Amino acid sequence: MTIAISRVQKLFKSIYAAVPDQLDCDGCFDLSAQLADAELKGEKLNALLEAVQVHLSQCACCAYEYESLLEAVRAADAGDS
Amino acid sequence: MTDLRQVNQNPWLQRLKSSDREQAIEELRVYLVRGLNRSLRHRYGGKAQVEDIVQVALLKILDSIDTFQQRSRFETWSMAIAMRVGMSELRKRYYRDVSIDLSLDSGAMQIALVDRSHAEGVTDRQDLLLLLQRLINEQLSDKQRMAIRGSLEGLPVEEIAVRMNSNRNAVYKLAHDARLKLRQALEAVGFTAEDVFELIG
Repeated sequence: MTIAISRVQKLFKSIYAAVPDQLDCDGCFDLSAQLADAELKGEKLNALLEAVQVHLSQCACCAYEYESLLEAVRAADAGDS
Repeated sequence: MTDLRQVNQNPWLQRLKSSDREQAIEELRVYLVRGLNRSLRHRYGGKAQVEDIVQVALLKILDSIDTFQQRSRFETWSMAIAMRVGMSELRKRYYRDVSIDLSLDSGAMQIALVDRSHAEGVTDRQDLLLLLQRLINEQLSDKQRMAIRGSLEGLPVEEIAVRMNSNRNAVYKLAHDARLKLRQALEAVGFTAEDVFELIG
């Protein structure tokens, strides 16, 4: 298996960004709507929502879903079709 | 059992448990379609069947309505469920024909740097990559190595889980623990983040 250098760079970034994470993906999902509402309203985040952000910074899959959720809620609230 | 205080407090819950239920479901459907149409159209090839996704999501939402704890707006909670249904479906279709073997039958993982330049620093960079390769092969468990291999191949954690006959939470933990272990090992031999990014770009 030969890996492209761009993928290796990404791996190094994820290695040096790795910090302890209190949540798994399901735990992150359970709190994602709460984080989305807080972010869209510009509210200050509590410790639990900060923990969600820590997970999102280390899980590309959850981060992609969360980014999609924010975009969807913004569009639906604005009445965009 | 539904908490009656919740029913009283949230207009959506009130409507979904009243004679106005059908109209409330239709309004929720329109809301979800609007959001997903915008958000999913450019993800994973953008071929989302939004109406179908929303039908499946509505069933899930109505089935799990008693678990809604009012920590967010009902609309946002519903959209999160619909988004997960949609993303799972899109990922499944997108990666269906992507042939990547994560099994360890093919032996140790090799990270080869194809760099034909003779610029200064290339040897150091190759040494670093060889070190990473050695750490992956010697310090990680078989399952951790599979999870890292999947992520190096660009697969999302959910897709790696499918290919490992596992689940998303378990694979995330494998990959996360592996990254922490690799970070510790790299730092133990003197490679700080600054050193590495200077070499690797």
